[in-house]
Amino acid sequence: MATMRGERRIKQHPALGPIEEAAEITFRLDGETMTGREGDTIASALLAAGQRVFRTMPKTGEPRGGFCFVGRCVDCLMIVDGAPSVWACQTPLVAGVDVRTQSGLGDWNGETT
Amino acid sequence: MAMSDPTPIRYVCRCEEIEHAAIIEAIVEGVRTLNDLKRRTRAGMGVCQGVYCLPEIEMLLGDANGMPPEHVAPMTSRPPARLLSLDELARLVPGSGVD
Amino acid sequence: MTTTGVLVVGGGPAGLSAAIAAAGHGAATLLVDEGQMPGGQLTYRLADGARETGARLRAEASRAGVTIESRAVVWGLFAGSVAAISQNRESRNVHFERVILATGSTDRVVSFAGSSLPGVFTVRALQILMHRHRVLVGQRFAVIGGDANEICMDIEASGGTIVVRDAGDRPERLTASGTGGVERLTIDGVEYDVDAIALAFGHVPDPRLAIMAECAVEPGATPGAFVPWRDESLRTTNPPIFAAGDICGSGTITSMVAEGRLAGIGAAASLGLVSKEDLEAEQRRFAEEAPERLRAAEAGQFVQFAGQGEWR
Repeated sequence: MATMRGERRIKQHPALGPIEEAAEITFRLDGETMTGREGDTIASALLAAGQRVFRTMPKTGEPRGGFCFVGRCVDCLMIVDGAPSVWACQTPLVAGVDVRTQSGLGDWNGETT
Repeated sequence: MAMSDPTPIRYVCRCEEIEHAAIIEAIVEGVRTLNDLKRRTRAGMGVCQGVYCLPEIEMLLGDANGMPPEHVAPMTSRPPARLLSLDELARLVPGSGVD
Repeated sequence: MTTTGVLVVGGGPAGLSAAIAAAGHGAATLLVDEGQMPGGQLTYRLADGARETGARLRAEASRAGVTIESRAVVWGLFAGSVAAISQNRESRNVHFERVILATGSTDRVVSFAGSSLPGVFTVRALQILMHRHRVLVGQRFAVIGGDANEICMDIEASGGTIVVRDAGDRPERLTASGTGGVERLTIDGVEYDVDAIALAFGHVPDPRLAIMAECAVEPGATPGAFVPWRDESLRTTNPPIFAAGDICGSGTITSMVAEGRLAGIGAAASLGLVSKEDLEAEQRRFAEEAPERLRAAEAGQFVQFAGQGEWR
Protein backbone atom coordinates (compact mmCIF):
# COMPACT_ATOMS: atom_id res chain seq x y z
CA MET A 1 0.00 0.00 0.00
CA ALA A 2 1.50 3.33 -1.01
CA THR A 3 2.29 5.81 1.69
CA MET A 4 -0.59 8.24 2.00
CA ARG A 5 0.41 11.87 2.04
CA GLY A 6 -2.03 13.79 4.08
CA GLU A 7 -2.71 15.97 7.01
CA ARG A 8 -2.68 14.06 10.28
CA ARG A 9 -2.87 17.03 12.61
CA ILE A 10 -5.25 17.18 15.52
CA LYS A 11 -6.99 20.44 14.73
CA GLN A 12 -9.27 20.54 17.76
CA HIS A 13 -8.73 18.90 21.16
CA PRO A 14 -10.99 18.93 24.24
CA ALA A 15 -8.16 19.83 26.64
CA LEU A 16 -5.62 21.52 24.38
CA GLY A 17 -8.09 23.59 22.40
CA PRO A 18 -7.68 24.53 18.75
CA ILE A 19 -4.31 23.90 17.16
CA GLU A 20 -2.08 26.96 17.40
CA GLU A 21 -1.09 28.97 14.38
CA ALA A 22 2.38 28.05 13.21
CA ALA A 23 4.51 28.93 10.21
CA GLU A 24 4.69 26.36 7.47
CA ILE A 25 8.16 24.94 6.87
CA THR A 26 9.25 23.38 3.60
CA PHE A 27 11.82 20.62 3.53
CA ARG A 28 12.80 17.60 1.41
CA LEU A 29 12.40 13.89 1.98
CA ASP A 30 14.28 11.71 -0.52
CA GLY A 31 14.06 14.58 -2.96
CA GLU A 32 10.33 15.10 -2.52
CA THR A 33 9.14 18.47 -1.23
CA MET A 34 7.27 18.22 2.06
CA THR A 35 5.77 20.68 4.48
CA GLY A 36 5.75 20.74 8.25
CA ARG A 37 5.10 23.28 10.98
CA GLU A 38 7.22 25.52 13.12
CA GLY A 39 7.85 23.53 16.31
CA ASP A 40 7.93 20.15 14.58
CA THR A 41 10.82 17.78 14.82
CA ILE A 42 11.75 16.12 11.54
CA ALA A 43 10.07 12.95 12.77
CA SER A 44 6.81 14.61 13.81
CA ALA A 45 6.60 16.39 10.46
CA LEU A 46 7.13 13.12 8.60
CA LEU A 47 4.50 11.29 10.61
CA ALA A 48 2.09 14.19 10.15
CA ALA A 49 2.57 13.80 6.41
CA GLY A 50 1.89 10.07 6.59
CA GLN A 51 5.45 8.89 6.00
CA ARG A 52 5.71 5.56 7.86
CA VAL A 53 9.21 4.32 7.04
CA PHE A 54 12.22 6.30 8.29
CA ARG A 55 14.97 3.72 7.81
CA THR A 56 15.78 0.08 7.20
CA MET A 57 17.86 -2.06 9.54
CA PRO A 58 21.44 -3.17 8.79
CA LYS A 59 21.09 -6.91 9.43
CA THR A 60 17.69 -7.65 7.95
CA GLY A 61 16.73 -4.67 5.83
CA GLU A 62 13.44 -4.46 7.72
CA PRO A 63 11.71 -1.08 7.89
CA ARG A 64 11.41 1.04 11.03
CA GLY A 65 9.36 4.16 11.54
CA GLY A 66 9.86 5.74 14.95
CA PHE A 67 9.20 4.13 18.31
CA CYS A 68 10.30 5.88 21.49
CA PHE A 69 10.41 9.55 20.43
CA VAL A 70 12.79 10.40 23.25
CA GLY A 71 16.03 9.97 21.33
CA ARG A 72 17.02 6.57 22.65
CA CYS A 73 16.07 3.85 20.16
CA VAL A 74 17.26 3.41 16.56
CA ASP A 75 13.99 3.60 14.70
CA CYS A 76 14.12 7.24 13.59
CA LEU A 77 17.78 7.43 12.60
CA MET A 78 17.91 9.21 9.24
CA ILE A 79 20.38 11.00 6.98
CA VAL A 80 19.95 14.72 7.71
CA ASP A 81 21.77 17.25 5.53
CA GLY A 82 24.19 14.52 4.55
CA ALA A 83 24.98 13.25 8.05
CA PRO A 84 23.83 9.69 8.80
CA SER A 85 22.26 8.28 11.98
CA VAL A 86 20.65 11.48 13.18
CA TRP A 87 17.71 11.13 15.55
CA ALA A 88 14.86 12.65 13.57
CA CYS A 89 12.73 12.82 16.72
CA GLN A 90 15.23 15.11 18.45
CA THR A 91 16.05 17.36 15.50
CA PRO A 92 13.98 20.53 15.16
CA LEU A 93 12.59 21.01 11.67
CA VAL A 94 14.24 23.91 9.85
CA ALA A 95 13.47 25.27 6.41
CA GLY A 96 15.21 23.53 3.56
CA VAL A 97 16.58 20.58 5.54
CA ASP A 98 17.42 17.63 3.32
CA VAL A 99 16.20 14.40 4.85
CA ARG A 100 16.76 10.94 3.44
CA THR A 101 15.53 7.57 4.63
CA GLN A 102 18.52 5.63 5.87
CA SER A 103 19.45 2.16 4.63
CA GLY A 104 21.30 0.27 7.33
CA LEU A 105 24.03 2.38 8.83
CA GLY A 106 23.75 5.01 6.14
CA ASP A 107 26.54 6.89 4.46
CA TRP A 108 28.14 10.34 4.39
CA ASN A 109 27.05 12.35 1.35
CA GLY A 110 26.86 9.27 -0.80
CA GLU A 111 30.24 7.87 0.26
CA THR A 112 30.26 4.50 1.97
CA THR A 113 32.03 4.60 5.32
CA MET B 1 3.65 -7.15 -8.39
CA ALA B 2 3.02 -8.20 -4.82
CA MET B 3 5.46 -10.10 -2.67
CA SER B 4 4.12 -11.72 0.44
CA ASP B 5 5.36 -10.06 3.59
CA PRO B 6 7.96 -12.00 5.52
CA THR B 7 6.63 -13.70 8.65
CA PRO B 8 6.76 -11.06 11.37
CA ILE B 9 9.65 -11.64 13.75
CA ARG B 10 9.62 -10.99 17.48
CA TYR B 11 12.70 -8.87 18.22
CA VAL B 12 13.49 -8.44 21.88
CA CYS B 13 16.53 -6.23 21.27
CA ARG B 14 15.35 -3.78 18.61
CA CYS B 15 18.67 -1.99 18.31
CA GLU B 16 20.77 -5.04 17.50
CA GLU B 17 17.92 -7.02 15.89
CA ILE B 18 18.15 -9.92 18.36
CA GLU B 19 15.21 -12.27 18.09
CA HIS B 20 13.29 -13.67 21.05
CA ALA B 21 14.24 -17.13 19.76
CA ALA B 22 17.95 -16.28 20.10
CA ILE B 23 17.48 -15.18 23.71
CA ILE B 24 15.60 -18.38 24.51
CA GLU B 25 18.29 -20.45 22.79
CA ALA B 26 20.98 -18.84 24.93
CA ILE B 27 18.94 -19.51 28.05
CA VAL B 28 18.38 -23.13 27.04
CA GLU B 29 22.13 -23.45 26.62
CA GLY B 30 22.66 -22.29 30.19
CA VAL B 31 23.04 -18.49 30.18
CA ARG B 32 21.55 -17.19 33.43
CA THR B 33 22.67 -13.60 34.06
CA LEU B 34 22.07 -10.32 32.24
CA ASN B 35 25.77 -9.67 31.74
CA ASP B 36 26.36 -13.14 30.29
CA LEU B 37 23.37 -12.76 28.00
CA LYS B 38 24.67 -9.40 26.79
CA ARG B 39 28.07 -10.92 26.07
CA ARG B 40 26.61 -13.94 24.34
CA THR B 41 23.94 -12.33 22.14
CA ARG B 42 24.76 -8.59 22.12
CA ALA B 43 21.28 -7.88 23.40
CA GLY B 44 21.45 -4.72 25.47
CA MET B 45 24.66 -3.49 23.87
CA GLY B 46 23.12 -1.39 21.15
CA VAL B 47 22.27 2.28 20.90
CA CYS B 48 19.63 2.29 23.64
CA GLN B 49 21.96 0.36 25.98
CA GLY B 50 19.27 -2.05 27.01
CA VAL B 51 16.63 0.44 28.07
CA TYR B 52 13.99 -1.15 25.85
CA CYS B 53 15.00 -4.81 26.11
CA LEU B 54 16.70 -5.62 29.40
CA PRO B 55 13.53 -5.44 31.53
CA GLU B 56 11.92 -8.00 29.24
CA ILE B 57 15.08 -10.11 29.22
CA GLU B 58 15.11 -10.02 33.03
CA MET B 59 11.64 -11.52 33.01
CA LEU B 60 12.78 -14.25 30.62
CA LEU B 61 15.81 -14.97 32.83
CA GLY B 62 13.64 -14.94 35.91
CA ASP B 63 11.38 -17.54 34.36
CA ALA B 64 14.37 -19.64 33.36
CA ASN B 65 15.95 -19.38 36.79
CA GLY B 66 12.66 -20.28 38.41
CA MET B 67 12.75 -17.09 40.43
CA PRO B 68 11.07 -13.70 40.25
CA PRO B 69 12.79 -11.20 37.91
CA GLU B 70 13.76 -9.04 40.87
CA HIS B 71 16.27 -11.71 41.86
CA VAL B 72 18.20 -11.26 38.64
CA ALA B 73 21.29 -9.15 39.26
CA PRO B 74 21.31 -5.82 37.43
CA MET B 75 23.48 -5.15 34.44
CA THR B 76 26.83 -3.45 34.64
CA SER B 77 26.72 0.19 33.68
CA ARG B 78 29.75 2.17 32.60
CA PRO B 79 30.18 5.71 31.32
CA PRO B 80 29.18 7.21 29.01
CA ALA B 81 25.54 6.89 29.97
CA ARG B 82 24.62 8.26 26.54
CA LEU B 83 26.08 8.04 23.07
CA LEU B 84 28.95 10.42 22.37
CA SER B 85 30.99 10.88 19.24
CA LEU B 86 34.69 10.23 19.52
CA ASP B 87 35.50 13.76 18.47
CA GLU B 88 33.34 15.15 21.23
CA LEU B 89 35.32 13.11 23.74
CA ALA B 90 38.56 14.22 22.13
CA ARG B 91 37.57 17.84 22.43
CA LEU B 92 36.93 17.65 26.17
CA VAL B 93 38.78 20.66 27.45
CA PRO B 94 42.25 19.66 28.67
CA GLY B 95 42.81 20.48 32.30
CA SER B 96 39.17 20.00 33.22
CA GLY B 97 39.60 16.26 33.52
CA VAL B 98 39.84 14.08 36.57
CA ASP B 99 43.23 13.72 38.18
CA MET C 1 36.01 23.50 35.31
CA THR C 2 32.84 25.04 36.72
CA THR C 3 31.76 24.17 40.22
CA THR C 4 28.34 23.84 41.70
CA GLY C 5 27.01 22.95 45.11
CA VAL C 6 24.13 20.75 44.05
CA LEU C 7 23.87 19.15 40.63
CA VAL C 8 20.37 17.90 39.81
CA VAL C 9 20.25 15.37 36.98
CA GLY C 10 16.89 15.42 35.22
CA GLY C 11 14.36 18.24 35.06
CA GLY C 12 11.08 16.42 35.50
CA PRO C 13 8.73 16.84 38.49
CA ALA C 14 11.24 15.40 40.97
CA GLY C 15 14.27 17.17 39.57
CA LEU C 16 12.57 20.56 39.39
CA SER C 17 11.27 20.17 42.95
CA ALA C 18 14.70 19.12 44.21
CA ALA C 19 16.39 22.05 42.52
CA ILE C 20 13.83 24.51 43.88
CA ALA C 21 14.32 23.18 47.40
CA ALA C 22 18.11 23.15 47.26
CA ALA C 23 18.38 26.61 45.73
CA GLY C 24 15.72 27.91 48.11
CA HIS C 25 17.97 26.98 51.02
CA GLY C 26 20.98 28.70 49.57
CA ALA C 27 22.77 25.96 47.62
CA ALA C 28 24.31 26.91 44.28
CA THR C 29 22.14 24.65 42.14
CA LEU C 30 22.55 23.45 38.57
CA LEU C 31 19.72 21.52 36.90
CA VAL C 32 20.67 19.54 33.79
CA ASP C 33 17.75 18.41 31.61
CA GLU C 34 17.71 16.81 28.19
CA GLY C 35 14.46 18.38 27.00
CA GLN C 36 13.99 21.63 25.15
CA MET C 37 12.36 23.02 28.26
CA PRO C 38 12.28 21.41 31.71
CA GLY C 39 9.31 19.43 32.92
CA GLY C 40 9.88 15.93 31.58
CA GLN C 41 6.55 14.12 31.52
CA LEU C 42 4.86 17.33 32.63
CA THR C 43 5.48 18.61 29.10
CA TYR C 44 3.51 15.89 27.33
CA ARG C 45 1.05 14.20 29.68
CA LEU C 46 -2.44 15.63 30.12
CA ALA C 47 -3.59 13.67 33.17
CA ASP C 48 -3.06 14.58 36.84
CA GLY C 49 -2.63 18.29 36.23
CA ALA C 50 0.70 17.67 34.51
CA ARG C 51 0.84 20.85 32.45
CA GLU C 52 -0.20 23.15 35.29
CA THR C 53 2.33 21.53 37.63
CA GLY C 54 5.04 21.91 35.00
CA ALA C 55 4.34 25.59 34.53
CA ARG C 56 4.26 26.19 38.27
CA LEU C 57 7.54 24.36 38.90
CA ARG C 58 9.33 26.12 36.05
CA ALA C 59 8.27 29.47 37.44
CA GLU C 60 9.36 28.51 40.96
CA ALA C 61 12.73 27.29 39.69
CA SER C 62 13.28 30.60 37.99
CA ARG C 63 12.35 32.54 41.13
CA ALA C 64 14.58 30.32 43.30
CA GLY C 65 17.61 31.11 41.14
CA VAL C 66 18.20 27.61 39.78
CA THR C 67 20.64 27.54 36.87
CA ILE C 68 19.04 25.39 34.18
CA GLU C 69 20.84 23.80 31.26
CA SER C 70 18.48 22.39 28.66
CA ARG C 71 19.21 19.89 25.88
CA ALA C 72 22.04 18.67 28.09
CA VAL C 73 22.87 15.18 29.34
CA VAL C 74 24.98 14.01 32.27
CA TRP C 75 26.82 11.01 30.93
CA GLY C 76 29.28 10.25 33.69
CA LEU C 77 29.89 10.69 37.39
CA PHE C 78 33.51 10.40 38.48
CA ALA C 79 35.65 10.35 41.58
CA GLY C 80 32.79 11.38 43.84
CA SER C 81 32.81 14.96 42.67
CA VAL C 82 32.90 15.39 38.91
CA ALA C 83 30.14 15.09 36.36
CA ALA C 84 30.59 14.98 32.60
CA ILE C 85 27.91 16.90 30.72
CA SER C 86 27.22 16.86 26.98
CA GLN C 87 25.41 19.78 25.39
CA ASN C 88 25.37 20.78 21.71
CA ARG C 89 27.84 18.01 20.95
CA GLU C 90 30.35 19.47 23.39
CA SER C 91 31.35 17.79 26.62
CA ARG C 92 32.68 19.44 29.72
CA ASN C 93 33.25 18.53 33.34
CA VAL C 94 31.52 20.12 36.30
CA HIS C 95 32.63 19.74 39.89
CA PHE C 96 29.81 19.19 42.36
CA GLU C 97 29.43 18.73 46.08
CA ARG C 98 26.15 16.86 45.90
CA VAL C 99 24.21 15.13 43.11
CA ILE C 100 20.49 14.47 43.06
CA LEU C 101 19.62 11.81 40.51
CA ALA C 102 16.13 12.45 39.14
CA THR C 103 16.41 10.80 35.76
CA GLY C 104 13.01 9.19 35.93
CA SER C 105 11.92 6.16 34.00
CA THR C 106 11.58 4.80 30.50
CA ASP C 107 8.66 3.04 28.83
CA ARG C 108 8.56 -0.63 29.68
CA VAL C 109 8.59 -2.64 26.46
CA VAL C 110 7.37 -6.18 25.92
CA SER C 111 7.89 -7.52 22.42
CA PHE C 112 5.73 -9.68 20.20
CA ALA C 113 5.90 -10.82 16.58
CA GLY C 114 5.89 -7.73 14.38
CA SER C 115 6.23 -5.25 17.26
CA SER C 116 9.14 -3.57 15.51
CA LEU C 117 7.08 -2.65 12.44
CA PRO C 118 6.51 1.04 11.65
CA GLY C 119 3.35 2.16 13.40
CA VAL C 120 4.16 0.64 16.80
CA PHE C 121 4.92 3.28 19.44
CA THR C 122 5.43 3.60 23.16
CA VAL C 123 2.88 5.52 25.22
CA ARG C 124 5.26 8.42 25.70
CA ALA C 125 5.98 8.61 21.99
CA LEU C 126 2.27 8.88 21.27
CA GLN C 127 1.74 11.47 24.00
CA ILE C 128 4.60 13.59 22.68
CA LEU C 129 3.24 13.31 19.15
CA MET C 130 -0.37 14.06 20.06
CA HIS C 131 0.08 16.69 22.75
CA ARG C 132 3.27 18.49 21.76
CA HIS C 133 3.08 18.17 17.97
CA ARG C 134 -0.62 17.59 17.42
CA VAL C 135 0.05 14.55 15.27
CA LEU C 136 -2.24 11.51 15.16
CA VAL C 137 -0.18 8.68 13.74
CA GLY C 138 -3.13 6.53 12.75
CA GLN C 139 -6.88 6.17 12.99
CA ARG C 140 -7.41 2.62 14.25
CA PHE C 141 -5.35 1.80 17.35
CA ALA C 142 -4.57 -1.39 19.17
CA VAL C 143 -3.46 -0.80 22.75
CA ILE C 144 -1.38 -3.59 24.24
CA GLY C 145 -0.38 -3.72 27.90
CA GLY C 146 -1.84 -3.55 31.36
CA ASP C 147 -1.22 0.16 32.03
CA ALA C 148 -3.43 1.46 29.26
CA ASN C 149 -6.23 3.59 30.71
CA GLU C 150 -4.50 6.96 30.32
CA ILE C 151 -3.30 6.38 26.74
CA CYS C 152 -6.72 5.11 25.68
CA MET C 153 -8.30 8.32 26.93
CA ASP C 154 -5.56 10.35 25.23
CA ILE C 155 -6.03 8.59 21.89
CA GLU C 156 -9.79 9.01 21.92
CA ALA C 157 -9.53 12.65 22.95
CA SER C 158 -7.26 13.18 19.95
CA GLY C 159 -9.78 11.65 17.60
CA GLY C 160 -8.40 8.14 17.24
CA THR C 161 -10.40 4.95 17.63
CA ILE C 162 -9.40 2.08 19.91
CA VAL C 163 -10.11 -1.05 17.88
CA VAL C 164 -8.81 -3.59 20.38
CA ARG C 165 -7.09 -3.77 23.76
CA ASP C 166 -5.06 -6.66 25.08
CA ALA C 167 -3.22 -7.01 28.38
CA GLY C 168 -0.12 -8.25 26.58
CA ASP C 169 0.62 -10.70 29.36
CA ARG C 170 0.87 -13.55 26.84
CA PRO C 171 2.81 -11.97 23.95
CA GLU C 172 3.00 -15.26 22.06
CA ARG C 173 -0.68 -14.78 21.15
CA LEU C 174 0.00 -11.53 19.28
CA THR C 175 1.24 -10.90 15.73
CA ALA C 176 1.39 -7.52 14.06
CA SER C 177 1.81 -7.58 10.29
CA GLY C 178 1.64 -5.42 7.20
CA THR C 179 3.60 -4.07 4.24
CA GLY C 180 5.88 -1.21 5.19
CA GLY C 181 4.03 -0.76 8.47
CA VAL C 182 1.33 -2.13 10.72
CA GLU C 183 -1.90 -3.00 8.89
CA ARG C 184 -3.36 -5.63 11.17
CA LEU C 185 -2.97 -7.25 14.57
CA THR C 186 -3.82 -10.91 14.98
CA ILE C 187 -4.70 -12.15 18.47
CA ASP C 188 -5.21 -15.91 18.82
CA GLY C 189 -6.03 -16.11 15.14
CA VAL C 190 -8.56 -13.27 15.18
CA GLU C 191 -7.56 -10.43 12.85
CA TYR C 192 -8.06 -6.76 13.71
CA ASP C 193 -7.68 -3.98 11.17
CA VAL C 194 -5.32 -1.47 12.85
CA ASP C 195 -2.84 1.12 11.62
CA ALA C 196 -1.16 1.97 14.91
CA ILE C 197 -0.24 0.05 18.03
CA ALA C 198 0.48 1.51 21.47
CA LEU C 199 2.67 -0.40 23.91
CA ALA C 200 1.27 0.42 27.35
CA PHE C 201 3.20 -1.66 29.85
CA GLY C 202 3.94 1.13 32.29
CA HIS C 203 7.44 2.34 32.95
CA VAL C 204 10.73 1.16 34.37
CA PRO C 205 13.07 3.26 36.51
CA ASP C 206 16.31 4.16 34.77
CA PRO C 207 19.02 3.44 37.36
CA ARG C 208 22.06 3.42 35.11
CA LEU C 209 23.76 6.52 36.53
CA ALA C 210 23.14 5.20 40.04
CA ILE C 211 24.61 1.81 39.15
CA MET C 212 27.52 3.51 37.39
CA ALA C 213 28.22 5.50 40.53
CA GLU C 214 28.05 2.31 42.63
CA CYS C 215 24.98 3.25 44.61
CA ALA C 216 23.53 0.06 46.02
CA VAL C 217 20.34 -0.86 44.19
CA GLU C 218 17.51 -3.15 45.11
CA PRO C 219 14.69 -4.71 43.09
CA GLY C 220 11.83 -2.30 42.52
CA ALA C 221 8.14 -2.89 42.51
CA THR C 222 7.71 -3.51 38.79
CA PRO C 223 9.28 -6.46 36.95
CA GLY C 224 12.74 -5.65 35.69
CA ALA C 225 13.14 -2.60 37.91
CA PHE C 226 16.16 -1.79 40.04
CA VAL C 227 16.04 1.25 42.27
CA PRO C 228 18.70 2.95 44.36
CA TRP C 229 18.45 2.25 48.07
CA ARG C 230 17.95 5.47 50.05
CA ASP C 231 17.82 6.56 53.65
CA GLU C 232 15.22 8.85 55.20
CA SER C 233 16.69 11.92 53.56
CA LEU C 234 16.78 10.11 50.20
CA ARG C 235 20.53 9.80 50.28
CA THR C 236 21.95 6.76 48.50
CA THR C 237 24.71 4.51 49.80
CA ASN C 238 27.16 6.77 47.99
CA PRO C 239 27.33 9.81 50.28
CA PRO C 240 27.39 12.70 47.76
CA ILE C 241 24.49 11.17 45.83
CA PHE C 242 20.75 11.48 46.48
CA ALA C 243 17.95 10.06 44.35
CA ALA C 244 14.34 11.14 43.96
CA GLY C 245 11.28 10.49 41.86
CA ASP C 246 10.47 7.91 39.25
CA ILE C 247 14.07 6.71 39.19
CA CYS C 248 12.96 5.12 42.44
CA GLY C 249 9.56 4.07 41.17
CA SER C 250 7.55 7.00 42.51
CA GLY C 251 4.75 6.57 40.01
CA THR C 252 2.56 9.61 40.75
CA ILE C 253 3.35 13.25 40.10
CA THR C 254 2.48 14.13 43.69
CA SER C 255 4.99 11.68 45.10
CA MET C 256 7.67 12.69 42.60
CA VAL C 257 7.31 16.32 43.66
CA ALA C 258 7.36 15.35 47.34
CA GLU C 259 10.45 13.19 46.90
CA GLY C 260 12.24 15.87 44.95
CA ARG C 261 11.62 18.41 47.66
CA LEU C 262 12.81 16.04 50.40
CA ALA C 263 15.97 15.17 48.47
CA GLY C 264 16.70 18.84 47.80
CA ILE C 265 16.35 19.67 51.46
CA GLY C 266 18.28 16.54 52.42
CA ALA C 267 21.15 17.56 50.16
CA ALA C 268 21.09 21.11 51.48
CA ALA C 269 21.05 19.78 55.05
CA SER C 270 24.08 17.61 54.32
CA LEU C 271 25.85 20.81 53.25
CA GLY C 272 24.95 22.49 56.55
CA LEU C 273 22.37 24.78 54.93
CA VAL C 274 19.32 23.35 56.70
CA SER C 275 18.95 22.76 60.43
CA LYS C 276 18.21 19.34 61.84
CA GLU C 277 14.82 20.61 63.04
CA ASP C 278 13.89 21.89 59.60
CA LEU C 279 14.94 18.63 57.98
CA GLU C 280 12.79 16.69 60.44
CA ALA C 281 9.87 19.00 59.73
CA GLU C 282 10.29 18.30 56.02
CA GLN C 283 10.41 14.57 56.68
CA ARG C 284 7.14 14.81 58.62
CA ARG C 285 5.59 16.77 55.77
CA PHE C 286 6.81 14.15 53.30
CA ALA C 287 5.36 11.34 55.40
CA GLU C 288 1.97 13.04 55.21
CA GLU C 289 2.12 13.83 51.50
CA ALA C 290 3.55 10.56 50.26
CA PRO C 291 3.31 7.96 53.00
CA GLU C 292 3.69 5.11 50.57
CA ARG C 293 7.16 6.33 49.72
CA LEU C 294 8.57 6.48 53.19
CA ARG C 295 11.44 4.13 53.77
CA ALA C 296 13.27 3.45 56.99
CA ALA C 297 17.04 3.24 56.92
CA GLU C 298 17.58 -0.18 58.34
CA ALA C 299 20.85 -1.96 58.05
CA GLY C 300 20.80 -5.02 55.89
CA GLN C 301 17.71 -3.99 53.99
CA PHE C 302 19.51 -3.33 50.76
CA VAL C 303 21.16 -5.72 48.39
CA GLN C 304 24.80 -5.09 47.70
CA PHE C 305 26.27 -6.11 44.42
CA ALA C 306 29.91 -6.74 43.68
CA GLY C 307 31.78 -3.56 42.83
CA GLN C 308 31.56 -2.33 39.26
CA GLY C 309 35.16 -1.32 39.39
CA GLU C 310 36.77 1.44 41.34
CA TRP C 311 34.64 4.40 42.22
CA ARG C 312 36.58 6.81 40.00
